[in-house]
Amino acid sequence: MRVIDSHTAGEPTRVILEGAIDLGAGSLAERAARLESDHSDFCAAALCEPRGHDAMVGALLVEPSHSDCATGVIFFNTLQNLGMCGHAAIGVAVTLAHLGRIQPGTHRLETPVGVVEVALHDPHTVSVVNVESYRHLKGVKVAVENWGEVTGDVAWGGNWFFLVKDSPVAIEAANIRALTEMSLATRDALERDGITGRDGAWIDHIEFFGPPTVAGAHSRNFVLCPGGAYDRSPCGTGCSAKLACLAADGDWPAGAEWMQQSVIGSTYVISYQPGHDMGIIPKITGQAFVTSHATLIFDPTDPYAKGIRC
Amino acid sequence: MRSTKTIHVISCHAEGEVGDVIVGGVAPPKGKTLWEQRSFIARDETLRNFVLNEPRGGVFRHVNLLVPPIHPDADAAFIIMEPEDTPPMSGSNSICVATVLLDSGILPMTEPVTEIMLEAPGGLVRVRAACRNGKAEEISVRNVPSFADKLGAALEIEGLGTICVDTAYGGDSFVVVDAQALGFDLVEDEASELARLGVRITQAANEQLGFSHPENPEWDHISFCAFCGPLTPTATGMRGQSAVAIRPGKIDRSPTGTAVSARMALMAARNQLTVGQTFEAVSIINSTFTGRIVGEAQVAGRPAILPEITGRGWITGIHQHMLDPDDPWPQGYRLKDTWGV
Repeated sequence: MRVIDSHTAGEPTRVILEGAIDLGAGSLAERAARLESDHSDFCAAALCEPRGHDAMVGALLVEPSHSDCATGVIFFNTLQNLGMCGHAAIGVAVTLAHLGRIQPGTHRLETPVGVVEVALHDPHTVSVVNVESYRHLKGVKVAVENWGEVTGDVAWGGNWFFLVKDSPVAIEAANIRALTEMSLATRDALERDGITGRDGAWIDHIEFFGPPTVAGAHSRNFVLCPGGAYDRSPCGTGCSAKLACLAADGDWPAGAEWMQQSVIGSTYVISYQPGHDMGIIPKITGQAFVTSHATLIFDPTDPYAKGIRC
Repeated sequence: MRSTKTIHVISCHAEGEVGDVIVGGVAPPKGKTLWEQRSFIARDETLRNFVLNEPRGGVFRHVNLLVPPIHPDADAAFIIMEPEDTPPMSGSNSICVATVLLDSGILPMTEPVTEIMLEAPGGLVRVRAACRNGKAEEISVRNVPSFADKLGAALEIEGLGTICVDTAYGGDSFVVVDAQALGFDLVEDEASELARLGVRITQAANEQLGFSHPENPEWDHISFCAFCGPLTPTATGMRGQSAVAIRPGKIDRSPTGTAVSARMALMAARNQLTVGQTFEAVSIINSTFTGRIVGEAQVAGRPAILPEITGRGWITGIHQHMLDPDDPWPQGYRLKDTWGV
């Protein structure tokens, strides 16, 4: 399996150039469904130890069904397929540029959930336009065990988020353990109180905000992902949910650039245009860097050819 | 494509524990001996940070650098880089290095058995590989003389009170504790708790007991905590499970070759195992190394054993690690969620 590894604002992506699996014909959604149903070991084999690790997101390149798309891509984590992933879309664009397969300009990536437009500005800098994002609930109060009352908004940015404006714990790398514990407790409290996204959707991402530490940035965030890992980057979908809240409060105008800093200090520049319904169409600009070219080898006698789950 | 580094790596694991091997792209480090070269790598940190830290590495990854051998008897030499240590010797890493050297053809393979001599910072390592159809299927590593240091020492652990521990050296230095007495079954669900407690026990052992290798005063600390399960007799010796906590806080996926050696030294000191007998060591993910006492020795007048560790390694990939000159993290980064307790 030939892969190229990169990181987007610190968050790793593994682009799979040749997956050595046959997903058959059909739409990308059909082929992605076949990846999950017929090749259930694929995700763990490519991303789990000993060949990868928990925080990695995979991007399997496949033939697009639309001829105007630069590539088809199926995003996945160590467990399952992902519909769309902001940092990995940036990683894919930078990897394609690294291979000389795309030049600066606008390109279309076909994903199982639709076509995503990416703009390659230079070999490292990419803008991604996300799905329409909106705020669902404002000023929700929830009693969090060990941490007291926390107030936040519920918003959609491609995933469901609970966003807390003023984190009681400073957003910095040294506090990651405390931030993780607080976020997990907040997620439990939301579940306990039956607070959900639209149509009862589980809120699986928790996001806390605090003041930034780099010049030009407007905010710093900590994002807990569903598996309990935190996002090294400022989180593309989390930024979209943030913009939806800012727009709904009238705190940030369309087209203006907001700089979001992550817990490790990396940044995305984000902005939005008004959406078709009540929401907004967010644009996320970030940088990715290639870190490795690799060929993964799966020896049939290797007891961990399908990955280790610890 | 721009890259200010191109480091060629063949990745590998031994019974679940990752031990990647740098086969090219790095100039030999400064130093007249392998130990001096190892000390340069440890002090300089550039290579360690680049390959061990995120985003290229992670807390579970060990990386070995192949260097030209210095000892006239050695076929190849390597320097071991672990998250917090640049140790004298490592069993799982030796198995990975031998697997990569033979399976990728850096050293010639003879079937059914290939014998090679590796040079590690801690000394010469004799390797016997069972080979078939171009694959080194089983690697036996002769480890450095291993010895018990303190038997049944009292150790104060905050929150736990006084516990009874042993200390021993098996190519690396260990504090050894009874897992059952602390309420552990050594199953995967306990991994996180074992990792955190193990680091605390190691720290306490360094403060209260300490360790100094009698022939290498520069190795003057305890590296790891081994939680050991009960022993059961087998036809050729003993079998037992263990979990080794590695700083800054993870459990070895393999049974840890140096821990198996240290434990056999302790068993020999208690007359539980003798020359020619085997110890089947089982890891937290149920992978196995077989240890064997192949002889007796002395280290600065103390009784020691000559241990041999047998395990299996598999190549998992071929990588070229690169550094874009604009990458804001040329040294990578490590964060306390996985890198510290």
